[in-house]
Amino acid sequence: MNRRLPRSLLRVFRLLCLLAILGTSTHAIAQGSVQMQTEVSVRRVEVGQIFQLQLTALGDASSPPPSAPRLQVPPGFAVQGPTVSSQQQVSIINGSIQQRQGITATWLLSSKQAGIFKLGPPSVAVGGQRARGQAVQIEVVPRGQGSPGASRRGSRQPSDPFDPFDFFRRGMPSLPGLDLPDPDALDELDTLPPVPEEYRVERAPDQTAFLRVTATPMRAVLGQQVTLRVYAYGCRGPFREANTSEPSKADFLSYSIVDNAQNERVHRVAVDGTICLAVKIRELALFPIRSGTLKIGAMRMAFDGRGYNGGVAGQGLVRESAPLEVRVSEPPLAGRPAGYELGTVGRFSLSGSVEPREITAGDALNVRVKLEGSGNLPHKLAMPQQNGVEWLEPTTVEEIEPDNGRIQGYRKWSYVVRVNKPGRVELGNIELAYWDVERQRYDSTRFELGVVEVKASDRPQPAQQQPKDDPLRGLVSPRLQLGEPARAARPIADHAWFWFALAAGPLSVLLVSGGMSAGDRLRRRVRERRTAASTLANQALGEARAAVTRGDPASAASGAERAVFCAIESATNLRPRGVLKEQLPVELQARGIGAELAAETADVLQACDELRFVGAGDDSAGTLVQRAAALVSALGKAGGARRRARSE
Amino acid sequence: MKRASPLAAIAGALALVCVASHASAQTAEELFRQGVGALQSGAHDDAIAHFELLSDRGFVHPDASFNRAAAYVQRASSKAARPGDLGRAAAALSETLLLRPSDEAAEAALERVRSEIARRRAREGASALMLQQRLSRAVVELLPENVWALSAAAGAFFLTVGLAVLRVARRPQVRLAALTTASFAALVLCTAGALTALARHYRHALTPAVVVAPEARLLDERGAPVTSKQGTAGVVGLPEGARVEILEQRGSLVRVAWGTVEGFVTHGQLRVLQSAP
Repeated sequence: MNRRLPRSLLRVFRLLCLLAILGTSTHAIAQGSVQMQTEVSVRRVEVGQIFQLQLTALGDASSPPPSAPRLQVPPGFAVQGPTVSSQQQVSIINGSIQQRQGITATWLLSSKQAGIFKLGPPSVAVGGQRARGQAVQIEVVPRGQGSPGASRRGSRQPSDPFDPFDFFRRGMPSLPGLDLPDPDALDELDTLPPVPEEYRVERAPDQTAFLRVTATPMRAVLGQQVTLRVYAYGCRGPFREANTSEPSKADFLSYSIVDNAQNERVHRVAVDGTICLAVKIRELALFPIRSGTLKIGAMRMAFDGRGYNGGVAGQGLVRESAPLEVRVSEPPLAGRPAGYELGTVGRFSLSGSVEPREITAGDALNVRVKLEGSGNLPHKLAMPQQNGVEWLEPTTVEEIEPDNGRIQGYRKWSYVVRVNKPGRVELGNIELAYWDVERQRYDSTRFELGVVEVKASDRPQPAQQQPKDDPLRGLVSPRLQLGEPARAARPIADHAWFWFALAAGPLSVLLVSGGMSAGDRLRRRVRERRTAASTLANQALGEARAAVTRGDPASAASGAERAVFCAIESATNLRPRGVLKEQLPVELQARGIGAELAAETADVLQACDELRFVGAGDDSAGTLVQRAAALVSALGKAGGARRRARSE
Repeated sequence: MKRASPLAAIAGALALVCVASHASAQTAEELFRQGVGALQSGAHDDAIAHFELLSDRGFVHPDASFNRAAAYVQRASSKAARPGDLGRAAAALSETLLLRPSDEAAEAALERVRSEIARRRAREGASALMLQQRLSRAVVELLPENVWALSAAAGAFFLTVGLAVLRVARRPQVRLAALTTASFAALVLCTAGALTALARHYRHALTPAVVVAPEARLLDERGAPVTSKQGTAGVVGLPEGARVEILEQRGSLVRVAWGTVEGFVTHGQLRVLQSAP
């Protein structure tokens, strides 16, 4: 009996430990600004069986990410890793967007002895200090005492990660959930089982290994679920995911559907005549938080396996997926109901309760509201407000998880509502408008809060008016009617005629003034031209010719004489009437006229006198006029030459 | 019959247009009335939803903007206040003044809202930020654009008269007076004309907006926050309720000017003011 007591106590202790472990599969601890989450793949393993322990540490996006993960294990445990991948998370809390970044560290462990062991706590370095996660308890049982699945896997001896020749003997270690095909069967294209459509690919961007990413849909409405799937294709045999870097998705709220390839089926896919092993390594439900062209960054992963030698020893063959762009727009304005919050997309229903229905003024009642459905569940609901009814901050409970690739679940809010006014109080309705993507229309769900009977209270009521010193009190009184609408007054400067008028006045005066001055100058020139000696000479010649035609030799001689005198004046500025005719040739030569021309001038003048006064001479009137015309022309040329010589 | 049917179709279409426009106007008025009712009963969220929907539908009216401000102020003074409520109220009041510049009630309310924002900022320990207006902008805004335009027109008129008198007058005193008048008028024309052109340029090239976030952090072209050394006069953020001018938009980043301070902010932190259609 004394021997049985310790054994029964040990069994009870083990049972209690198992109940505690089964009750919670994960435990998240927030240490300061770093959120730590520790998960283990199984809680009960066989000796030598490999299992996985994963630590996720997320800190504020503005701080340096956590680093240097460590794990403490008891003696007798073999540890491989950690493999570290980066993480990003976007969440909306009370309407504000919070971004976090961090790492996920994964260790592979196996125990060489049976018992109950405490692993960890795992820790990371944050801001020069170590932040610790939660330690986990594992029960290690002797071989053959594990789960039926484990015993089947037990027939294939687990690999020893510390035996360098183990890969050559048996290939990759048998990880739970990763069904690796026989390499000898890889060549049999004709015997491939049917491959799901999502794995089919027409061309391989790389003959060794590649990542393929899809986002559905590529054009979405703000708040609509965009499903991101990443597939890994390895064409050189089995491989393992290592050194993963998650794709950046800063403009999206993200929910994980598939975390890793651990529980995903591996498919053999024929690509370009080669059989490749394909597995889905990530599936995320993304909800865009703004409109525009949003970017999803590339995912980076190392293919760790025999046939995948990377550039850096021990790091596997690194491949990146292609970045994507998703176009996000707002739902249409037409038909949008009042109160619709951008991003509320899905299909929802509201329900709730109000208790009690009879209270005293100043007391509180409890309102529970449940919103369930699929899609982007809003974080808050708009409560109906009215004077005398005060809604306090609610407590929230939620359960949101993927189901067949769609995010669904519920959120429950519990409100305490204080009613200060007595009487029959209609609490109003809670209404949520949403955009139904499948039906392509707005819809709404409503919960009627109903009526509450509020009895008058003997207690003094709290002041319902705003404090007297509230500066916003009575600041803006609403206008009850629409007044005159705004009319777009076109400013003066927008009219082209304004700028024209600005310039036209002064310019017109300047133009007119300039025109008048030009006219005056022109008239002066014309007048000067009329009185010019050369003009007079030509006029006189004209009169002389007319006199010849009339048969008036005296007038012809007079005209010829006047023409010669004007020509002399024009050419030399000499007034010949004030010079004796005997002196005239000398004067002309002194003024630059050639001797021959001067003599001809005197001769013509003599002939004119003879014809005019005597009535006869060597020349007839016509001849005399011709000689006079030639002389006028010669004097004109001589005068021009003289003026040119002077100007030079 | 064949001749009548096109006419009937045209008449029917015209009738439909009239009914549709009448229905649209009724819908806007209905929304306005529902918003007023919600305001009077204290349902500020409901009122905000109605007036915002009016704005989303392109209904631009100074009284709708004013009531939207009233709804935000009511929420700001309640326990359901959200960050940026007073900024949105300031934006709505600024829009009211843009649509109806003579609205004295809106002007007074805007001043008090901005004072309250400054008081709350001071209470939270934020440093007071003074708007330093650009000299050119300050000069242009001394007078309304139409006043500058009329001044330029007056300058042109007197310049024309002065030049005309100079042309025809003979007496020295008259000519001197005309010369003086023309010179002064030319100066007025050039100055007022330039300021009119500048005012018109500002009106067309710049879009007015108001900051509706508690503080709009200034960013550089890449979206990285500006440090106090990089910012103009050490300014790294624009206060709530500040009126800014949008210079250009690059994706989700918007380059704005607040007096002499220029920088990029996120588009969601601004409310663009609507002008009269």
